[in-house]
Amino acid sequence: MRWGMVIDLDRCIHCQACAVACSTENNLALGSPQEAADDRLIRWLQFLPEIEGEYPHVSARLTPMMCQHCDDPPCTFVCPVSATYLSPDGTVAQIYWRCIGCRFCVNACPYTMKWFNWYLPRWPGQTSRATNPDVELRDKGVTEKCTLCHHRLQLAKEQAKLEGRPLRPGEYVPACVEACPTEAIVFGDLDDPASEVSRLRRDQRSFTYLEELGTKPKVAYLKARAGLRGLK
Amino acid sequence: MSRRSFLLAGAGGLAALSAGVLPKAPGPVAWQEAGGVHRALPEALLPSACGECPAGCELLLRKVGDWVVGVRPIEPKPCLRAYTLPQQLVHPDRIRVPMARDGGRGGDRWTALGAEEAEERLASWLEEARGRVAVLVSEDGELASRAWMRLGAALAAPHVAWEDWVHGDGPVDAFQEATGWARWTPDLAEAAGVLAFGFDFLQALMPPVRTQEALKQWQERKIRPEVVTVGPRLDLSSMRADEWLPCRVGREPLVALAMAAMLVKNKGWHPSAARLPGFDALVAGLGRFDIPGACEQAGVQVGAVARLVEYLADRRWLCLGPRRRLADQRPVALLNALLGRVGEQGGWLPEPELRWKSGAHRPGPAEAVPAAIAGGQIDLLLVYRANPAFATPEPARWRKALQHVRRLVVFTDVYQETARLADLVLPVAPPAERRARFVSVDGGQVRVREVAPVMPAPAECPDPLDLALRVARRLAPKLASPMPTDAEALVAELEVAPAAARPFTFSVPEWTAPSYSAGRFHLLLETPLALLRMTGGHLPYLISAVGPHLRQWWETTVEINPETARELGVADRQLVKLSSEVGTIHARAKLYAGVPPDAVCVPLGLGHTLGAFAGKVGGNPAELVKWAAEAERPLWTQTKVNVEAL
Repeated sequence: MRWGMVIDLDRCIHCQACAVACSTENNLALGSPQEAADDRLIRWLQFLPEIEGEYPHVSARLTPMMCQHCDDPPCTFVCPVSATYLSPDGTVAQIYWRCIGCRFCVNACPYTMKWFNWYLPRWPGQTSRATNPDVELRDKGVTEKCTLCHHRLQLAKEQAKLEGRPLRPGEYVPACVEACPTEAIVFGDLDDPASEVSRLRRDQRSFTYLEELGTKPKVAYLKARAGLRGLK
Repeated sequence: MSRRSFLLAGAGGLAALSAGVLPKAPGPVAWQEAGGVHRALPEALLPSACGECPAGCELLLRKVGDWVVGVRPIEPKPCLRAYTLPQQLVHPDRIRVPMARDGGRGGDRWTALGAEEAEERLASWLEEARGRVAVLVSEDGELASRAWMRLGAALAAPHVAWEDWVHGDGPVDAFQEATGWARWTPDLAEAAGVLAFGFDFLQALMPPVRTQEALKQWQERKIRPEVVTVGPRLDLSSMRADEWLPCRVGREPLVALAMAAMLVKNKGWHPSAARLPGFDALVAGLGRFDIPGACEQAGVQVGAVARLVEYLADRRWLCLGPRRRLADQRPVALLNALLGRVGEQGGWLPEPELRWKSGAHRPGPAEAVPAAIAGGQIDLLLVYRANPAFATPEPARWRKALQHVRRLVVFTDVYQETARLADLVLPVAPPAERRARFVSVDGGQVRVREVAPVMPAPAECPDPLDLALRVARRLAPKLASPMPTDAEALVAELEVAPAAARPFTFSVPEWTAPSYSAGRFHLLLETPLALLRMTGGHLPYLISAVGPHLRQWWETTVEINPETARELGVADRQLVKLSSEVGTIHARAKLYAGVPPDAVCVPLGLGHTLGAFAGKVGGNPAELVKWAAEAERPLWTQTKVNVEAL
């Protein structure tokens, strides 16, 4: 299996349910005004703004961006301790306790979707009680990134193994996919040509970011359809 | 026995023993270190509801051990706010016990009270003040909030009001004027297309789940509905729209009026419109309308408007606009009527109303309360889940009134600005910790949806519905009119008033430009979905979801056109001072080409003065907005400000 994702920009309504669901599911550091001001706030899924033109001839596009889970991930090539690597199921994994905080991978990622913990995460009061026990809390000096909610895959695999059956389609979905109210994010096995995600990747509207770098991302996008049929 | 057969028999025996005697491997479990011993924690997905807006979305909460650690959506999927529910349960700002003020009003010294003592105090205060009580409630879809309003009516309180300052309602006042019915909802799911006038409907239209569900349904249609927005700023809805028609600030209604006049001129109205009262007078009136003059005033090209009108006439789109001045709402309502979109599928539909059979009076305007306090008519103000000291235009007016009211009782989940001024603060637990009852209208019937608690509430945290009913029971002999004292009887007293809208009556709308306060730049206010109704500023993941186009995170930011910024000598991310006739705040400049050069835009919902995360994170832009005493509605859009680099 090779897990991948397609995000339909025509369906995305910029509601950010995916981003907040991701933060909750993966115990992202809560943040602070200082982190935000320093542009060091850790949010694995962010909206990439592309604003062009001058008022009033201005257009803007928002694209949900996370680790693109490249098939040729530049971040893994530079990690001196193999803390980040391409796992057999296609996700680019990160082992926190191996990370030595060199930030080579952060700089190597062309999508700038790897995050370094510059600050000790703060969990005031009982806030750490509401964290997901399946996901480790990271420490200062460690790099982190979208794992495609890999812990969910592990749990789904364990459950399938216990029941003596293979993993069913749809049994494992990351939190962002689950939360999207307009079903703009489609997730599945790219090795299965019949899967929805494979079909959408073959769609004419499909594209990947920074294709020219040869990173072969497993997150693809479907372009938003052109403007009004009768007006443009 | 050979050595080989001995080993084989041994291996076989061990395998059999493992299969038969050893326990089966456990399912996926979470582990917690407890006193040096790892033990499995029970895990469950439990049905619950989001209490963030009246929609009360159903969802599943993932509970591991004693704690809620996750949210699983169920259809229709909730908005982003639901995913913060685990954090809300453990938030450091949460009020967990009743608190009585200890010391001067506005100080932070409190004495914890037991639930019974708090109930006793509240009941005696209400008894003492009856007839001179005001009740202000934030609509959350629950029976509990209605119970407190009902108690206000039973006490003959002169003011019982819903908090409705920043709801995204649409031009409902204009519909009420033309049809006699006040409650209307846009049928987005069936709309042929949407034309929004100065209305960031993807963020502001309530409830968000309905908008999201409608847009999901659009994708299943053969021909996807299209969206055109008209407005001065490239907001999130305009970014998502098929076309954005920029116009001058505050002139969106004029564009709507020009479109209506063009429709009339082209005889492009829907046949149903011609049968409505006042149609002939409207045609004559709009026939004299100066379309080029209006377009010039609005800063749009006549050709662009004409193109849209041609398109509209064929497709009969749903027209949306915000609930601003009545004069601003009328053109949008009129356009809908001309397109046959009033009272029809895919248009604006009248909504039935939930009301009391006993005729307990209808809620009045919230904004009458400060004047009533100043006039000495109110001795006790009970605020249920609202925060007028923060979330109103010119909130200093409310703060002044709250300082002067003899007794202030506030129900709240977290410590906030209004609670800080209270004499008695009562905690409201999230629906996950109590038996919440959501009431709505379903198929013309009252529908009550009960949600069981998934974890216990703190020991001294009273259930707000039970508390209202117990207080009603205690005060029964002294109430001005009787009130049901158990939940079932209270529900039985609710009835559905069917929508009684008469046919839309046309009138020739007179539109005059709004008057603005003094200042150089128009103040545009964004209503981010993350901080819906100016709430949620205490939740870190929501503060990180404001203004994704400019990363307006964790701090009040102000969008300034790059040209204007150059002229003012303001750099991107520089701190600036915004000042209006009534207030001053500091904000971080964000250069944005999507905001016009004569305006600046600030998101609403940040700038709290207290809280572990929310406190002192920027300024509250509501402090800049001048309250207009003659207004029918809070006028969020008629303020001008000056900008100064710091």
